Amino acid sequence: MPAVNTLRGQLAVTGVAAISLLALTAILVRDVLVGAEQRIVAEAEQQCATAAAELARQYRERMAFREDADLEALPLEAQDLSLKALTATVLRSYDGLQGGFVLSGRILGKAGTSGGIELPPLSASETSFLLSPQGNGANRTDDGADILVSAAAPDDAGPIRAWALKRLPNVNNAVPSQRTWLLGGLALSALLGFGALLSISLHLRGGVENLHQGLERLESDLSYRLPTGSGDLGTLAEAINKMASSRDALEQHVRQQERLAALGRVVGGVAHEIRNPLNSLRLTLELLARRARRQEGETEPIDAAVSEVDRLDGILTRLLAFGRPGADERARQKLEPAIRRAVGMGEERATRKNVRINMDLKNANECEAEVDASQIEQVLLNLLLNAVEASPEDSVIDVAIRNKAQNVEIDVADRGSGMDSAVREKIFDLYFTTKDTGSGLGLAVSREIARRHGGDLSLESEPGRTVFRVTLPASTKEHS
Amino acid sequence: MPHSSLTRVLVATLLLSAVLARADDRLEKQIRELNKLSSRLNDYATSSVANEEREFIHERVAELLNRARKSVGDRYLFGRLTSAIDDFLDASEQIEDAMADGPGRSDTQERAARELEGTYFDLMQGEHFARQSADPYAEEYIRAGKRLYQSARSAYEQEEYAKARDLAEAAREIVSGLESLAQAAVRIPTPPKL
Repeated sequence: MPAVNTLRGQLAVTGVAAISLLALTAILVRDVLVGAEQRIVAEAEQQCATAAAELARQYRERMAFREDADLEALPLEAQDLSLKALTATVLRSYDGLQGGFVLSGRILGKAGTSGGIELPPLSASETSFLLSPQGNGANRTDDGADILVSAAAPDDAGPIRAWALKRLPNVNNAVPSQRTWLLGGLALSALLGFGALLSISLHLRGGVENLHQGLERLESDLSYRLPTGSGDLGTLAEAINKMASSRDALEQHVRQQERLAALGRVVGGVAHEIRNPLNSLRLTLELLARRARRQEGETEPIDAAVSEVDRLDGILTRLLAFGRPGADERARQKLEPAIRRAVGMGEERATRKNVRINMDLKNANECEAEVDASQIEQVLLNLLLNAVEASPEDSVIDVAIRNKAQNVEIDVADRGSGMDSAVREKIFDLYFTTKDTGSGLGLAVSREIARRHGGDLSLESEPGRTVFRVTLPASTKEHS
Repeated sequence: MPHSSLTRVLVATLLLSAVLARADDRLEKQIRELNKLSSRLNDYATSSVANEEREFIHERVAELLNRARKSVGDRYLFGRLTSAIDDFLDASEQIEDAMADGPGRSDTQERAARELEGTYFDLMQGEHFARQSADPYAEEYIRAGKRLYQSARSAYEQEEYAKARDLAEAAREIVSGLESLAQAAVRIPTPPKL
């Protein structure tokens, strides 16, 4: 059944099933109600017939015992009293029934209770019905909304006739009314259910269609995001968006890695080629400077040239770090010495700017990691020098180390002006720099080193405070 | 006096005499009935068979006889009271018969069972009559009837069916008497005056 595999087919099948169920329920309800009514009336007829027969029997017994008693010779009030006692005694076993006798065209000895409460007197139509010839034998009379069920014992007992009667109030009104309401309610609920089903199906179909189109677009454009909404489909769209974001980030990361690797190879080659002549140049400049000093000539321009050569050499060193990620000499060790060495190297430049470096190393003794200490030192020095540059004069740089979860965190915080979001987004990109003389390599290289150690380099910045955080996996005790 | 007037007076006198004679007859009949009932009471009261229920019945009958004597002018009331007295005396007779149960008396189990069943039903009705009778001893009558029924039930279980039937009939007679007392208490509505 291929049609049933589609939403439209499923909708049609469900609709047919719902309508069939409704029709079946309606038929069942009707049968139950009609059956219940018939059963109630039949039970009442049976009850009345039995009670009337019992009244007649007890009357005959009474007359047989009181051989000389001539009830008819007594005043009606006395007859009524005697027969009422008889009726009340018999009808003790027939709750809700009224009974009595018809004698000489009069109703006598009427009694009957329901739940211990005396039943109301007979209406004119009820009295007329009981006195009529129809009142002999089991009868069922529809009296407006009520159903009157009565029975009378045969006349062969003599001039007196026993009767029993039961009112079934509002049977005619109540049952059709209940039926109408019930059927109406069922029809309404079925319509509502069908409407809800249709709405859900259409909504589902639209949602699936949107997802399908969105996924097609995502194949060509990873930056596209599916429209999200409420409900399960919205959650699904959010999950797809999250997956797309992860994939986008991963692809960017891979691309950057590939770019860095390619660049590293190129730069490594170039740097190696440049470094040799640069060394020759430096040696020549040093020779010239020595001669100039011997001849007491001016050496300042030569020193400046040497300084520039040193700067070029430093740049080449950092470039080579990309090309040769290689020789890791990792060992499990405390990180405090690396911090102290980095601070020691950066302190001179900080002092020139009158910036104090404040080290919080109270937790340092507990912080160990498996690292190449020289590389971590390089990262920290880079962060410290950046912090010095970003710090205003007479300010403080805070360096702190602590264990957090399964990691060691080293914070380098300055009190500079902070970074806006555009800068924060690109700060770790290769060649991105906010400095006039910057190469855009320092932070990119530092993060690369941190990541190679299984950690990361992250940033928190706000006006007046910027924190670079180096995260490294802490060495656990099992390793020791 | 004209001749026609004389005839009228004569006819009226004859009619009055007939009415008075009839009234005398009715009074005489009532007195005879009272005497008959009194005689029955004397017979039963002097009987050697002593019984708590009988003593209670005899005391009540004596009172009812006095009440009946005072109500000879009210035919309906007199009739109901004498009917009640008759029933109570029948009950006394049945008790006497049951107490004097000899070896020659016998009855079937079925007849005894039916009698007990009828008695039970009558005792249920008796509670209605007790409420309607306004008699100060109404509850006592019912209690006496129930005691007799219990005795009848015991006799039935001991297979003394004749005794059981007599005692059950005695209880039924008490209820019947109580019914007559309740009927006596019925107020017949006075016909409206023109």
